[in-house]
Amino acid sequence: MARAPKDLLQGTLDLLILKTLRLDPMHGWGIAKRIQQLSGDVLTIQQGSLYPALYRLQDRGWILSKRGESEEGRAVKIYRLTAKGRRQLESETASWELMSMAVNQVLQAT
Amino acid sequence: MDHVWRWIERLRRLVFKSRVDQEVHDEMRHHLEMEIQQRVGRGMDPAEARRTAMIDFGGVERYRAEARDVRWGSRWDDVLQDARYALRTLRKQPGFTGVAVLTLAVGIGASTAVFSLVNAVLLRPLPYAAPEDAVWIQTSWEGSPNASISPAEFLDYRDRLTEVFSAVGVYAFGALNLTGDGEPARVRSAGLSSQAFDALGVAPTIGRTFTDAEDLASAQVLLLSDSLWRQRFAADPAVVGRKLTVNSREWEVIGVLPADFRLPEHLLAGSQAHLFVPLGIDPANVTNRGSHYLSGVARVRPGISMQQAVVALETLALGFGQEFPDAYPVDERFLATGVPLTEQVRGPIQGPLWVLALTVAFVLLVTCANVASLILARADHREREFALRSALGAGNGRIAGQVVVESTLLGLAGGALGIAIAYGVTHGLVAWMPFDLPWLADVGINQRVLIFACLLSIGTGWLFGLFPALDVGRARLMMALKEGAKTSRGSRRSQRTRRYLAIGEIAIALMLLSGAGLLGRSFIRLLDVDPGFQTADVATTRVSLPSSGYPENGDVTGFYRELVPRLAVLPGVTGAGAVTNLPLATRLGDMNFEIEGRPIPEGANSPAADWQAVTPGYFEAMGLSLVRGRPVTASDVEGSVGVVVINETFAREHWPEEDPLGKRFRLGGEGTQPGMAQVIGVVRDVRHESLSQDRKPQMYFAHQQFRFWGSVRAATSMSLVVQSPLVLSEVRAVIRDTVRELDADLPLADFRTMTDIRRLSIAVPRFLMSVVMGFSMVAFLLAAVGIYGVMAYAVSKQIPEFGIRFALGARPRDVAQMVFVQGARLTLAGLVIGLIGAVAMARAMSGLLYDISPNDPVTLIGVCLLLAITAGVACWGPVRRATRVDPVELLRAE
Repeated sequence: MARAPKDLLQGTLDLLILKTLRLDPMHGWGIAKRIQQLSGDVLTIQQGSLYPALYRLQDRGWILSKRGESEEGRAVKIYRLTAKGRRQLESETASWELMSMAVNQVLQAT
Repeated sequence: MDHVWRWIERLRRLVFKSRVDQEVHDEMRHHLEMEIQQRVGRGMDPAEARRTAMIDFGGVERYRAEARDVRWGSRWDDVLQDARYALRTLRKQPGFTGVAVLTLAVGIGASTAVFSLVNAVLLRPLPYAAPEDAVWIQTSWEGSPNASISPAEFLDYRDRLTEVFSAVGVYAFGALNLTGDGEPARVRSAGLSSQAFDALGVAPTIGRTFTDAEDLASAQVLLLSDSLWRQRFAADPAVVGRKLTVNSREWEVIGVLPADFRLPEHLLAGSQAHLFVPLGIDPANVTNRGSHYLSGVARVRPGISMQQAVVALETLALGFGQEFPDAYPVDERFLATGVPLTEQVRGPIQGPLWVLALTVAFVLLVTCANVASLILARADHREREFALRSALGAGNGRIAGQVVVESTLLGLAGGALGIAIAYGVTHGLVAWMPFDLPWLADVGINQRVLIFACLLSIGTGWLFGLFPALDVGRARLMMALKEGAKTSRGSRRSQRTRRYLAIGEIAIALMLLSGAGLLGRSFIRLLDVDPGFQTADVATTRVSLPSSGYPENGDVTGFYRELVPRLAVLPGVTGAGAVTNLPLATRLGDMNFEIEGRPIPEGANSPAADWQAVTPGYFEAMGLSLVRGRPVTASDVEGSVGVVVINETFAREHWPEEDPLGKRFRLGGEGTQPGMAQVIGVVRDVRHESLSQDRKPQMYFAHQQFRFWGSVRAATSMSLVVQSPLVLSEVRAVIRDTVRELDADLPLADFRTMTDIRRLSIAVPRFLMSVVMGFSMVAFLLAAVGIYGVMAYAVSKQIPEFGIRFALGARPRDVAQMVFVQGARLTLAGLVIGLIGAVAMARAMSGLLYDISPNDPVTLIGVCLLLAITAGVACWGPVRRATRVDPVELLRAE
């Protein structure tokens, strides 16, 4: 199974977290699982790096956390996207698409 | 809403650090537990599941630290940590900390106090609307650089410059007798033209100003000062329309001016006008262009630049010479120009204040140098500490940063104490200021001053922390941890920096001391100046006769003819007289004349002399000794020969070889019928305007003979001068009683002794000298401490070297000489640099000196000697220490 390099492109992890939180608020482990799931297990990030990223996004005002309960009834922190985070996701998605399209074009040209 | 939560979260993380840290921990643990559970669920062995989950997660501690570090404000943590560390180390060294904080407090306190003055006086706008558009009109001609305006000129400025000025106003000062309810009082007043209020930019708080018609007709309407309104009318808001008895006539109050309003001349003076009346210049009657007695202010029209306006004014005035050739002879070089009002007002105080500011800046520099030197010495001792921290992974920047944090803390502590000192010093300075500024009321530690003090504290902290921080950065590079490294390159470099600092301190101390010395010597010369008259046991008070009670000239002269002899024969009084212009308290006008038999050639200047009028007895009462001839007497009445008493300078200038007695000259004033004056006596020169004034020709007329010098009215307002050895209060009582015998309603004003007047006249130089001297003593003491510190430290570093020298046979004398030479080199370098600075500074302040050259060798040599001796004394302790080095003990210690 092909694995993505351990160090994701700077900013990619942020984009993935924002995307994951777009639909539902989630706790940390859930986010990690969802990323893994959605990427078909290709993007297994080093799971610990998720946490600094979560705090960074929170500090930028893109996500917010509140106390909540996990499915098993344990007290956990649940993260959700803010309006600002939603806008950030849109602009980052657009620029990601532009870039990946450009890279694809270059790769297909040869 | 999201915003609010974001900030709450940020603050929560900043404040509840450990709780947040715990949360990260919990979150991660939850993650791992879930992960393990999932893997076990897939059938993995629990131990294996745990192992793989940990691997996939990565370093728990690392990510925890990373999560913590994204916290907002985490950079402040370092600073806070440094600050805590610095506080601990500073507390452990109370001696060092105490000296540094105290030194800084002195520097910051003095600077803050002076800044509060500068802030209140120089940085504050004048109490007028848009003061930047107000122009002071200044006239000058040959021999009179700062003259006033004549009525005819005023009308020209007002009516012919409307394109550039929206208002041109003039005013003249006077005094009026306020009677009616309560004690009769003599109140300072001003007559203003109707546009003067607009030109100044002031509006009454209640009521209105004069109309043009009221001005023209000299209507009996007046405005009150705020303080008179409060005193006399108990701040009655319905004061407009009320009547006031002034000079025995009824006047109507039409308005009250704002509390902070003063006419420009009064902004820097203790006095203030309280009644404002129409000036009443009627164009129909104005022909005389020669009598310049009005102060003029104009307001520049919006859209016109100050420069354009001034050019227009100058151009108009330059044309006067052609328009009125009789009134403006070419050789008089008549000019008028405009000066921004703010500049005009602040002019006299600016010089002294900048000298103060400069002095205090130097004191601050010396304090910084001293503290920097202290920190450097301490940094040497801490090399091991720094090296250790560096070995443990602290970056260069982090260690230097810590020194900066320490310095900032010291600066702030010094600043806090300094503000307390400044509080006291400011009050002292204000109490001492010879300028009784209305503004000084709110000199104090206000918000702006506090901000200044804080910035100053932080700034000085960085300034004196800078050198040590740079040095520390370098010190890290060498291996201080190495055993046996006694003197390091870093410490040698910092020792060099300390030498430079000491040299700088000596230089600055020299500059300040020589400045103070010059001011002091020039002040002593001022004290020694013989004013020409007697100041001890002479009291004076001013009497003004209202025209209502004394309508005729005969009434006026009769009053003084009656009063003066009555005063003179009182028991305990040894002399009495009266004069129009009191020396050292007033200015004199001059008058041209033409000596009989010496016609003035075409185009040349006619000679002039300052003049005043006296009653019989004045010279005796003033102790003004008669050199030749006789004084003015009661028999010099109107109609008899016009007499004049001249001073020695007058006699020397015009009759150097001859006896002036009996000589005659014709007085020349335009538009008057001048008379012939006959010299009857010669008196000593009087320093009239100030003690530092050059001698000028002066002449004294008899009060009763006012007509012959071209006046139409006898002087109604005179200063009584009474010589008496009695106690002052008794003198005052007898004068008052005697005046009351003649006129019970007549108020007396400005009761003072001539000693007071003399002291007041040199209050500015006294103030400046005292403050500069005080500050330079502070700088001097600090510099002495600085030299001692550097030398003591240098010796302590050289002790091993001295030990070896002794072991090799050097005598104590040789070592002492070595140390002295080191000290002498420092001192000499400081003195040379300081001398250059001192000469430059003295040149800049030569305007504040009297009768002493800026390069006065006595002062410079004296100050150099003082500093050299002080440096020698400062070296004495270190030298003794160096000569007592015991080589044996030293070698054992090695």
